[in-house]
Amino acid sequence: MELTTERTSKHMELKIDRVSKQYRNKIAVDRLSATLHTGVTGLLGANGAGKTTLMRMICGVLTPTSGEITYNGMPVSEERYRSVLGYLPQEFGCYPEFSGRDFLLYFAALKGMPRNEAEIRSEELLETVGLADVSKKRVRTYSGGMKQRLGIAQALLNRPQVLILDEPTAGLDPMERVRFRELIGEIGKSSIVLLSTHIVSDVEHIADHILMMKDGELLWQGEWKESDGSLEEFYLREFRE
Amino acid sequence: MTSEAKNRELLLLFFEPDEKPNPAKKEAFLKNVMTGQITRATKITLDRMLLIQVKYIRKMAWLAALMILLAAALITKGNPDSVLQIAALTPLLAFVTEIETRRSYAYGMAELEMTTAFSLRSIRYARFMILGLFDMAVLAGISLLIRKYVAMSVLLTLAHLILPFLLTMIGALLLERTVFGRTHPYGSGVLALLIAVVTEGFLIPDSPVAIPFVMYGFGWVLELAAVFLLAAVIALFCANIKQDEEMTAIWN
Repeated sequence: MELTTERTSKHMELKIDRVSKQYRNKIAVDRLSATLHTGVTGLLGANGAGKTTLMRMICGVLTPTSGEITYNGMPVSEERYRSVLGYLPQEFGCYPEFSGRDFLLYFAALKGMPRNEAEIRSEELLETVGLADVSKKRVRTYSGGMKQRLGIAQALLNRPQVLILDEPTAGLDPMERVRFRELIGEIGKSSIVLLSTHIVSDVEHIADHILMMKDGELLWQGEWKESDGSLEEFYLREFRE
Repeated sequence: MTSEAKNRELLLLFFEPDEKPNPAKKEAFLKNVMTGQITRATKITLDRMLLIQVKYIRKMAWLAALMILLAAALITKGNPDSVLQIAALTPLLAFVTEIETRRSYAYGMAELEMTTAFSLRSIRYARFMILGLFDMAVLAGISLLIRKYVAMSVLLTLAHLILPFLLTMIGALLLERTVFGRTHPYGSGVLALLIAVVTEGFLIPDSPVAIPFVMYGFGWVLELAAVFLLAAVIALFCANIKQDEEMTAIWN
C-alpha cells in the first residue's frame, strides 16, 4: 500500500457539474450544478427534495445518471477521493459484536490507517465525543445521541478534506444540536463541509454558503448574511411558491 | 471574548457533564482535530484487504466449516454412505458463507463501507475469497479423509460434496437479487434446508438418478457439473456486487 502523510493546504474545490439521478420514472436530482469551497455549506430542502441522493452521489455511493462530480479535478469514484472523504449518512447500523472502539478501529482500517495511528486517533476521538467511558460497550447499547456522536467520530477519523453530513443533528437533543453546530463551524475552517438538513436553524449561523433544493432542482444558492434578514422566512417563502 | 475562544468554550460544552472529557486532552485535540498529520492510503493491495477482513469474519463462519470437518471425521468410520450424509450438511456451510459476505447490508453498514478507501466492493470480494477458499479447502480435506471408506475417486467424492454447496450458493445469490431476498437475509436458510433434504434423497446409492452417474462410470458428468456451477457462482457473485449501488438504495 502506498501511503502519504501530507495534508494539502491548497485551494479545495468540489465541483458538481450538471448532475442528474433518475430512478426508473422518478428524477431525484435534475441537472444540478454547484461548486463548493472550504467552509460550511448548508443544504436545505424538504423531505424528498433529493438531498440524500445528491450527497450519496458526492460520496460516490450512487453514480449519477448524467453529469460529473469532481474534487480538485479528481472524479469522486476514485479511491484517492475516498481517502480524503468523511461521511455521516442519515442512518447507519453496526455489526452486533462491535464496541464503540471496535467500530472506529474497523473504519480506520478501511480508511487505510496503520494500526498504531488508528488506535491513537480512535482514543483521541472517543475522548472528544465523550464516549471514552463507554468505548468498550457494544454499540447496540448506545442511545441515539451517543450513536450519532460515534458516527461523527467515524467521519473525522481520517481528518477529511471533504466532510459530508446528512441530517447530522437528527437524534441530538436541542443542547447537543447547538454544540454540534459549533463543532462543524470549527471543522469548516479547514475542510469542505456539506451539511444537509430540513431545519433552517441548523445552518443559519454557521453556513458560509447555502444551497436550497426542491423536487430535485436547485432552487437557490448563495451566501447568506445576517443583514439579508431571516433565512427561515426566505426559505419558507421560496418553498411556498 | 473572541469568536475562537467562544467556539472552544462551546465545544467543551458539547457533551453531557458526566461524559465531559479531560480538558487538557480536549485542548490538544482541538488544536489537532483537522490540521494534524494523517496517513492516507493511496493504493490498496489485495493482501492488505484480505488481512483486514480475516479479522472481521465472524467465528460462526469458520466454525461451520470446522463442524462439518468434525462431523465427517465422526460419521465416516464403518459407514459406506458417509459421503451422502456429509454432502447433505454442505448447504448449511454455503448458507453461512453467503450470509457472511453480505452482512454489511443486514446490519446497515453498507453505505458507510462504500465511502471508505477500501470500498464495500473490495470488502465483499475479500470475504467471498477468504471464506470460499477456506470452505473449498475443508471440503477437499474431507474428500481426502474419507477416501478409504468410499468406493469413489477423491475428485468424484469432492464433486458430491461440492454440488449441494454450489447449488445453495447459486440459489442464495439469486435470492439476494430479489426484493424478498434483500429484506429477508435469512431466507436462504430455508433454501439451504430444502437442498440438504433433496441432496440426501438424490445421492442415495440405489437412487435411479445416482446409479448411472456412479455405477456406470459417468461420474465425470458430476465433476463437470461442479466446475460449471463453480464458475456460475463466481459470475453471479460478481454480478451481484455490480448491483451494490441499487441494493444500497433499496436497503436504505
